[in-house]
Amino acid sequence: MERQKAIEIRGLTKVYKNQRGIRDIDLDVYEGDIFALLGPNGAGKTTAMKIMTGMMAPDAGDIRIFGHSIRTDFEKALAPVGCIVETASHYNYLTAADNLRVVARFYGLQDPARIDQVLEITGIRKYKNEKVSAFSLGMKQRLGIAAAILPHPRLLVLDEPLNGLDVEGMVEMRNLIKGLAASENTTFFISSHLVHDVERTCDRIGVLLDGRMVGVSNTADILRDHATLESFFMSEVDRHGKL
Amino acid sequence: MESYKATLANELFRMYRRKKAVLVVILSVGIIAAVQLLSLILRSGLGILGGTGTGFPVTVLSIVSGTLLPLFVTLAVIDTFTGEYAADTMKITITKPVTRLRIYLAKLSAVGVFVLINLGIVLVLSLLLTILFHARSLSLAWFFNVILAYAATFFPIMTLAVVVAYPACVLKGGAAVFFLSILAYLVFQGLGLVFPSLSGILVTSLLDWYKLWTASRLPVGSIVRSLSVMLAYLLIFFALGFRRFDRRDL
Repeated sequence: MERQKAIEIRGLTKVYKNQRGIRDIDLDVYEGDIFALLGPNGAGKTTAMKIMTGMMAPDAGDIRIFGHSIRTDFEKALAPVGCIVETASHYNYLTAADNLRVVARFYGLQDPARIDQVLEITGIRKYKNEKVSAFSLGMKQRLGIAAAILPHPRLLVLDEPLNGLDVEGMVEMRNLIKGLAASENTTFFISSHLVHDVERTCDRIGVLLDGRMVGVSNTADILRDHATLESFFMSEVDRHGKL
Repeated sequence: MESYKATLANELFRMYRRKKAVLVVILSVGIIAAVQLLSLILRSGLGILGGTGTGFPVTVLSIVSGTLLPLFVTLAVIDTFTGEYAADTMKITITKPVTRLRIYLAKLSAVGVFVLINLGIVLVLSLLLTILFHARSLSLAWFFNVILAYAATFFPIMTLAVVVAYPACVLKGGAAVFFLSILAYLVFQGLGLVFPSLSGILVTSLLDWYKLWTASRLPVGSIVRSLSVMLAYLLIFFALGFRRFDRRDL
């Protein structure tokens, strides 16, 4: 049975004044995929994610999320999406629980137990009533993840999700991603510069170089032909003459 | 519509949780207390005839609508737009299933609720003090007139909010928006004094719109003209502000 497309990117283009950005990207990500976008700094990973989550308008092209266009049907497109793009942002003058209450209202979530649940999952339940201004970078990242998974999203867009996390946090994050993919069939669209973590977590990889998508493969297929994901990535970079 | 309601609820919730909202209430109460104290001194302490009498609520309104309220509204708009861009919290709302038009409307609506609450507090307190000191000289017509004056003030203050929202979406720093607003306010006030014929089309001249509504004979022509000017400001600056808000990349 053919799987449903979670993300359908067609002709996506966004060029900044300095001529960097992304150009004519086409990509399909299927429901249940743990998809990683790999690329050097400035390749356009965050730009693609920003367009996907409404932070930026494309110059051309479109993204459909579970069939809904972000250009013409934004609310329906974003309804099943949770995200962290660049850094996890919070209202520092609110407590962790209040920050999550703000997020919950956007999705019409009424159950207060869900807030405790996501705080428990991300290991910050004991800080529930503390103001975010007193949180460390890692705790803010954990709260960002709690906010992203709060509405039971069908798609999670995570830009460098391991940023600021300690080793324990990284392992927990990896387990969380795999767990949600297995138990709730959540689709993940992740960017990370930590190639080893991507190799261990993601089942499909897209390589973005100089604003263009140069290849999409299954992790298993890549590892059949290359010793590691890192060597595959470096060979792709060399092949396209960019480093 | 649900997404608009959720965004408005969040804006109000955050406004309530910030200490600045409490400060605004304290300052409003302070100005009422100061005017009442001055009135009492004029009436009895110094033996000078005068004071504000039953005109106290409107005297307070004239001070609040010309100084404090424009200042509070400007600060509220700066917090709502420029402040959120600067603190990188705008993306919390932008990345949720709400269109930018609804976000923009909800943010301005929250400022509107803030204005209503502020006017409401000043109205209730000034009414209570007037009833306390001048209960015998009050009438239903007086009460109706006071309510009308406060209700009428809401519209030019909201027009001002929509006007300030445009630079608040264009400029990057809250201080820049604040000083630009103050400068524009002073320039407009100065223009109104130097060229009285221009005052009808200056947004700052609209702030005492309530006077038209409380005149002994309703000046329908002036009210319609002022309303048209306000609508023109609202349409132009809403379009400019929303266009900027909608196109601004994060």
